[in-house]
Amino acid sequence: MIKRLLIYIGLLAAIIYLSGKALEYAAFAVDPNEPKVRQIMEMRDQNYDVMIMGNSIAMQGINPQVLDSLLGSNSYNFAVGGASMVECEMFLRHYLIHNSKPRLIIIGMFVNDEAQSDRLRPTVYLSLEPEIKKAYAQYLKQHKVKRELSLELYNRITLFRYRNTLEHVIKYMVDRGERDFQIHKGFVYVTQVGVIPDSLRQHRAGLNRHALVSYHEYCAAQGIPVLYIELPNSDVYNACTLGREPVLEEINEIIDRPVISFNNYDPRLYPPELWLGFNHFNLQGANKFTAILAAQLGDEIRRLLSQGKIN
Amino acid sequence: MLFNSSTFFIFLPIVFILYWFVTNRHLRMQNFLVLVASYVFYGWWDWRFLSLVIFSSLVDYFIGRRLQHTEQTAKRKFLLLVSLLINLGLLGTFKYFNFFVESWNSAWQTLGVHMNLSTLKIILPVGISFYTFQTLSYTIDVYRKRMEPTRDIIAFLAFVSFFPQLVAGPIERASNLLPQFFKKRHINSQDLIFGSRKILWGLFKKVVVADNMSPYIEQVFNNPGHYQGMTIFFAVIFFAIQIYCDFSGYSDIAIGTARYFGFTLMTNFRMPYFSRSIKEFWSRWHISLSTWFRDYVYIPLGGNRGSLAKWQRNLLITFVVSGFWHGANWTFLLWGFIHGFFNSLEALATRFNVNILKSSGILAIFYTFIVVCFSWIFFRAASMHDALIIIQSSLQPVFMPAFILGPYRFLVTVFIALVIFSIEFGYQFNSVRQIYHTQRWYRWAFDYSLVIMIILFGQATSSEFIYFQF
Repeated sequence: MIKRLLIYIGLLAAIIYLSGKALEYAAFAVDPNEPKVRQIMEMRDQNYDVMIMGNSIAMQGINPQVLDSLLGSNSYNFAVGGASMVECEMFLRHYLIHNSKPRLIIIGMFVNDEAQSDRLRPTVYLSLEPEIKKAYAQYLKQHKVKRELSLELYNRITLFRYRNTLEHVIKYMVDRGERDFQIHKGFVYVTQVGVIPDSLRQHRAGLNRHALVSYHEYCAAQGIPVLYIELPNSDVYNACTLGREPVLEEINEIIDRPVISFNNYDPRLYPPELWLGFNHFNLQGANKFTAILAAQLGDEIRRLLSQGKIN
Repeated sequence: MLFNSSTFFIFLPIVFILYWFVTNRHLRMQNFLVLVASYVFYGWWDWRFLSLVIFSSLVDYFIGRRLQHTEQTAKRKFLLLVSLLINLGLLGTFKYFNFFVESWNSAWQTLGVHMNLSTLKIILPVGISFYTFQTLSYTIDVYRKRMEPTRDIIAFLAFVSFFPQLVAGPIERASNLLPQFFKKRHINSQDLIFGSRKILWGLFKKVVVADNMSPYIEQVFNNPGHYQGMTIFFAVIFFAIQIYCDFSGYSDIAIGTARYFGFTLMTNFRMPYFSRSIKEFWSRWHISLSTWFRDYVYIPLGGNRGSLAKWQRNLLITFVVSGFWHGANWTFLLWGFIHGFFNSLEALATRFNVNILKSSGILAIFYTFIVVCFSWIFFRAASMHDALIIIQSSLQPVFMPAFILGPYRFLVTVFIALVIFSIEFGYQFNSVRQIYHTQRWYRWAFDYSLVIMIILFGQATSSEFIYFQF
């Protein structure tokens, strides 16, 4: 009986382990965020002077190579798909332990979604240094956010940690062209053009106020200047988002200066062939936007870069 | 404490070890441990309401003792009445008071009179409908002299509050569960395997099936009028699956957990959606409640004795009361009425030998499923008004369902619905059952698939079981 039980449990453990490994492999193949997160978490002794942060819109929208060629900077795109403000802060805290302080952060704000969580993705959380985990726990406690047990417990199981990969695998199988990504200096790009759907359900803009305050105060404490920008969304997406103005005003009040929004633009500036869906650029779109960004904010970026403290 | 929470999976092994390795020499000690564990289990939710469980149990314990020594019919009736008044009084106060006040106010309002009786700001104690019925069945059975009252107060308190089935059943009869507290309990590997498989299956039904259906259903039912046609069709089918898996999942975990402690609880569900009539549905759905109503409401009303009209009346009353047991809302009353109505129709058809569906199994299953699903609309809708809007919207010719939360989540939900349907459908066949029970590798593969699916699709945040609200 004991022998049979041991075989039963052993087999189960082996199946869970192997399936987990298979999903992990798939995650790295079809989801750009996974290799990107690993790159960032494993960075050591780097010396970038411009750090680009944000979610997938910034990840696919700002090309460090173009920026560097126009401004003479040394930048890296640290943005990760679905990253919240809290996640950006934890990335930065982790990065600063092992690498030199950047002289400027450009962060792409995303306000067009009401749900702005305090969550960290498991692969990020598990790679954080212990003191950063403590800082995160402190943050959650301070803002009375319930700590998710799954983050500490279930996510230790690889199969559980990568379970969302199934969605990426299916999407990849359905639309391979739009998901065949490449990564260069953290910039994730796809060359294909994605169709912008005609309509989208109306939704509200939102802001995680305490996350932004925390991020802003942390950067100020570190003496790192931050440029808060908003990348363009397709006009279909803009039309479906309600209540953007009050959210942007609230951000302006927190950061004590206006968010530099690139979202009110002439649609002819970004024709359909530059897009990959509602609010992501393809390679061409990202290059164009980065050039516009450099042209409009070049002087400001150069000024801040010269002000930024060099370690 | 929830069965699908991590707390329970710490609590269970602790109680198990204490039960079998510390208190195993003394039956009374084991019963005492069960009692303490049950109170901890219940008090984890809200310890203040423990007093209600204890009070209700003590009332029936002492009334049972008095009944034993009372032979006069009038006195016996009086004692029974006291038990009924106290138990149903508590239930009525906590569950139905506000409903009656609101209905009273709105009834006067329709006549143009402004009544403003105020409602109470109270919350419904979890499981009150379940343990009230369980303890009532004891008193009624003692009154009817169908069982001897117990002198062992610890065993009785443990019987009423037995933690695996305290908050959502199965509603055990005293005649089945109470005697098990007086017998020396044993456990062997077969019990452990049976219990573990039941818990695994219940957990799968809850965290994979029911919890994945939930977002789609909530979106549709909380926004009546926003969705039409096929979206409502899917939402109703998903709800039928959700409520079955949520509730039967709870029962399975309860049965499995009880077996860990050497107790056998009654079967509460037997694949009800494969029933060939509404009557059969009720012999396979929430069996512990339907047999309770049969024994303590339907048969005392006269059952199928007497005239055809009386029989029909008894059926309707029983089902309407059963609907009302589920919740203080007109929607539940109508849900009960629909079941009563179709039960009566079937009874008439049987009486006059015009059962047109009898010849076709598939058609009969289809008919039953359609009626049950239709009734679920009232069960799930927040109000009668919402239910009518949802029915109206379902008739709109919209043939593409809305992919609420995106196409992937929709696909996963449909996939999971198909998985549970295929498993239950397969289990209808003797050959499949035989393979499952005789081939070890088949059983293991099945278990492993459930575990993998729980890891991949299970909702990690523990959500309450739907039947807690009843």
